[in-house]
Amino acid sequence: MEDYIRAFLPIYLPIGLGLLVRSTGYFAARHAGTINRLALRITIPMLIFTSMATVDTRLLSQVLPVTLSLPVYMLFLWCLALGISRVPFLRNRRIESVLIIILGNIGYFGWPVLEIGLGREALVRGLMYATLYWPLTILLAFSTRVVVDRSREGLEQGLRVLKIGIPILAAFLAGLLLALTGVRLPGILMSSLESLGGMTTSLILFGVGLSVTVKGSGRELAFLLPVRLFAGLAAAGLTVVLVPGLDDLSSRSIMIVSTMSVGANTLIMGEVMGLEEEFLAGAVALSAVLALFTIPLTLLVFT
Amino acid sequence: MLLLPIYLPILLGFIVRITGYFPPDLAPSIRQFVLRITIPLLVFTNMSQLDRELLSQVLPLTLSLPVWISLLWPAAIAASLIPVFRKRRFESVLAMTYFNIGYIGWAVCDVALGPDGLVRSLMFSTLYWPGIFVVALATHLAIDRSGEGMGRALGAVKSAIPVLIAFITGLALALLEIDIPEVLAGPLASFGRMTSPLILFGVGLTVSFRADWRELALLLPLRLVIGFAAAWFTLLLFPGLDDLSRRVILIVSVMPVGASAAIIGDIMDLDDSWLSGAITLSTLLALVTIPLSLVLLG
Repeated sequence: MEDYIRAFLPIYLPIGLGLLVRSTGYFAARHAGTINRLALRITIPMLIFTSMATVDTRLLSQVLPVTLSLPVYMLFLWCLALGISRVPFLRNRRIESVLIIILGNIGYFGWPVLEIGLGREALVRGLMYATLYWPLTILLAFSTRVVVDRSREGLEQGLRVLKIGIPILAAFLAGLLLALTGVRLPGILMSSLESLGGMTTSLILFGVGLSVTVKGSGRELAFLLPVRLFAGLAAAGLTVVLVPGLDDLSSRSIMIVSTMSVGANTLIMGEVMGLEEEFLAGAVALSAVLALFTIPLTLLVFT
Repeated sequence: MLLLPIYLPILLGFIVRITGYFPPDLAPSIRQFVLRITIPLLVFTNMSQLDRELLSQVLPLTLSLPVWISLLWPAAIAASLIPVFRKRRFESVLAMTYFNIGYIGWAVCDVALGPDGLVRSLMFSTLYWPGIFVVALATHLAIDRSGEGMGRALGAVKSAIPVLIAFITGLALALLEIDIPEVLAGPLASFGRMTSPLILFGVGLTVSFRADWRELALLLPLRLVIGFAAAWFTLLLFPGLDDLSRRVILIVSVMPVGASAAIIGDIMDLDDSWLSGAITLSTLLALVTIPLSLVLLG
């Protein structure tokens, strides 16, 4: 139980703090946009660059199947999500629904769960699995906009998402290049960049707490949140069957992280794409609460 | 390289601003976040994790900061009467009284005097945040006693309440020997750690080189002289301070303008771009003054 609290308090505490300061009027919810933008444009590229630049390249070659499983998994899930979003009462929020289904918190929820459930080796698999997460998030958000909303305005917004994704992709490629060429930046430079990248999760989760509300979206979320768990499990099942070279530990890791709560990056994408942020924040917060029950169940099944 | 953690966020803020990648009109929101969320959590976590044995040992060191500021402040008020500063008296006093004793000071003490020097500088800065709010209030009372001025001063006091509560609560926990579980302290500290990079990034975001060069050309060297003189008098008042503590106080008294000036400037509706210019230029000047002070005192 202590491990469990230790793993999840860093997730719930910033959300709770954001919710508290908003509900008491101490910090206005209108600042949430700035916080999300700061995360998206500054801290996330820094996080990705520093994570990639310091990745162990030997590990990268060993777990290539794990790394490549994520695009396969997300592609399956995206197709399922597009189908699910056709349910009549989700039609007004199709893009939001697709993002809620496909973007799971595979990092900050997934990593501690894997460590607690399957040990240190599984944590390393989880880290590798998440390597392509941000580039895929942007690519799929763009694709969703293009598929769901083929209007000129929709395409322009989609292109905007891609444009926003450029610094993230550039950070990813630059970091990867450094890792592959074995070039190490001076420690003091890396730690300065890491101090900016290290803010990401707390900032995003605080932003979630600051914007959270479930008003008027109870029915959609009551349907979406359980359905996304089943869709995620189905996509993960297909992935572990289709991707060759995955051992038992990797397969179980992929199954476990597929049941994680809605990722806080949903809110970031929502802000970029001009979506309904309160609905997305409600989904992030409610699914995080739901995870208090679903994660122990997942661990029971897969460990 | 030592000063890279300071210059990098400023430079980043400046680059993203001039390239249009990040709009400068978001800077006030970032400052509000820093003031209301990260600073109180920084103060709380630092105070609650104080080494209690160290606290009793270095009490003179901790108390020497308010004494130093008390000596510095009247000198700054007097200097602000120089005609060239009259247009921006309040800003001038802040630029002369707020030193970057935390972020830059800690790093410099660590490099120059080793881990012991770092611990001393940490103790010296304990009362920094409560101190800067007191200075802001006192400056307003001294310079602008109009109804509007008093309103702003009260605004500063109001803004300081969460910081003071955090300070007192953290100190109470330290004195009562109540340890916050790591699982709780870690996430709170993660917010506290954002403070300096975010302030410095905000400085870069709002920096203006259109500052009044004539004012700064006089103010920046003058504040170093005043700061050093006040530190020297402080040492005379605390005979119990050992040699290492003395050198720490003298070294941090020549640090550049603290980024906290931008925060207070925002609360009190002062000339933001002038203050940002002062912070940036004095930080650039530190490339020369810090190595020089280390040669003399390190």
